[in-house]
Amino acid sequence: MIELKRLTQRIGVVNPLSLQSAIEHGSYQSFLKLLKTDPMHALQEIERSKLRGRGGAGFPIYTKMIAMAKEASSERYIVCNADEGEPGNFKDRYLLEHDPHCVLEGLLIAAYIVDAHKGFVYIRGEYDQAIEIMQWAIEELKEAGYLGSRIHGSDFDFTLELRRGAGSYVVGEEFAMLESIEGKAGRTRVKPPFPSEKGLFNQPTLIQNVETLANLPLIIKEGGHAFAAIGTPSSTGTKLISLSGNVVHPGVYEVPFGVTLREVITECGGGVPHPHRVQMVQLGGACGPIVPPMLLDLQIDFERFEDYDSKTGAGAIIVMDERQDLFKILKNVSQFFDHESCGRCTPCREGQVHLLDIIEKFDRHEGAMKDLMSLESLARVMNQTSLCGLGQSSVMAVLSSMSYFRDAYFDRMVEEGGGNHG
Amino acid sequence: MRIQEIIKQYPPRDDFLLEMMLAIQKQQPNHHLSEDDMRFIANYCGVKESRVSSVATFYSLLYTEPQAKRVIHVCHNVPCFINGQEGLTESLLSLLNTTIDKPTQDGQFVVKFTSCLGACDKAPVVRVGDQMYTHMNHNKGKALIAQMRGHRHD
Repeated sequence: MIELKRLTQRIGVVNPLSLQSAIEHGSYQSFLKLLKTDPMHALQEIERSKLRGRGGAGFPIYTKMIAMAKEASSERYIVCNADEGEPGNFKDRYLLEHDPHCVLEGLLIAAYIVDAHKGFVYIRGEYDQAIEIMQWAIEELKEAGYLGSRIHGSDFDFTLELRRGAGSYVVGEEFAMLESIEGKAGRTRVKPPFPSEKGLFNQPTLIQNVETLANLPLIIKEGGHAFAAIGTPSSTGTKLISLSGNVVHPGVYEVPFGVTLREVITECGGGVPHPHRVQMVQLGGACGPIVPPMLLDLQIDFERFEDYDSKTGAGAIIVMDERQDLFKILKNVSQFFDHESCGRCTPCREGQVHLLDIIEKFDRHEGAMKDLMSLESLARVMNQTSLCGLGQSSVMAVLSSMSYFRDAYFDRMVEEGGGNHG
Repeated sequence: MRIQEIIKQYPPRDDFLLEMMLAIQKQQPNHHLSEDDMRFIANYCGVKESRVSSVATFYSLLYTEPQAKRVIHVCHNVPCFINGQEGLTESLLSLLNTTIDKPTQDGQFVVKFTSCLGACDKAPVVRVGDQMYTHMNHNKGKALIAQMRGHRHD
């Protein structure tokens, strides 16, 4: 079996509604050990671990932490990004609902290292159960003295608040999230300055995804080198995969980096239902590329994925068999982004409308060669000029489909324009 | 609880706007924020009404128009889509004899689309209030509506 349960090893064993149960299963040992040490040693371990963010962009956590360490301000924040809104992803929810203390311990460790004294867990409003469980977990932590002033006899003070989202995909983007925590519409800011310089309330802020934080107790416990021994040289540790679509056993699976898409789909997911076959796979979520079966031997690894303009970060794999129609999927994805664009920048706001319009033409078998050309240039402009990562990646499904399934576009052209099947 | 009491649970600061609005909206019979509510919130936080309104109109889960008693949110993103979401939506709409976003005549139900609910391994999924219903199909939809109709006076 290719599964390797490290972050998820206590799931099903630990009671998510009991701090006592979490402690009995080893929670907060790393954090308490850390409280007696110099945070700079822990930062070195994190550098050695080569841990990269699990929320989508794959940015090294060490780089963000060291940038923040250089800031002088004494008012500094940490934010746990639990706004898992990328369609096809449900692994953060899985962690939050089944082992909240694994995430919260990671958050406390990160806060101690960057010397933040106030933190927020931002959970999307649709995650009712996760909100309830996390709220309860935070209350229990307060009562047990893991939050507040002089935590467990140390001189570390830290308070933590939960904030709910109110339905917005773009708030998953870090600056949009900060705006939302400040009680505003979730529209991104122009960067630089980065959140590590001027983040929440214009103070240095570390923003990390749920799964990224959940790795920190392991790194403190085992040391960075031991952590980095799992996975590949460029992508260390394990990754939670949200597997969905046309597979026999959809679900969350934890695998070491370096396994292939095919292994996850067949060994974890039991393959596509008989007698069907894989037609295409969308990687990462709505913002990821749609790839053909010939790419299924691709290793799950930040660098390998970047070769295909994709991000492993969020780790969604949406499998589609031959019963699915590419243009219905593209239309669905384009409608999603048309609805979710925050409107802050022109390429994304206006582009989504036109992009959807052209995709609908192909869906109706009314495309023409000029539409394909317009679609290509429009998608490239949106990719290159949108203000935030979400706008930039919103066209990945369309761009990838034009590379890997170009013939499908010619098949959808009206006779006059569809003569060229090259 | 009256909105005066709800809002007092929060400090009078505009960074609590979302939390206040979600809490107040939940208490309102028509699940929406009226102009009066927004004016009240603005005064409490010491900000302009336009500031409150800009938040209310940005987020999908905040409503500035009265809603039906039960909002049935159907996820329509790709994992649900390829697991029969379209058929499910049609059957819910025909069971309720309405169209998408249009409340039923008795004001009891409305069917709306929602973005991913993060339960793609149990697609298709539907959310009503704070409850999630997974692996939905025509029969489960029918049973759900019947069950909610039975509790209409709660």
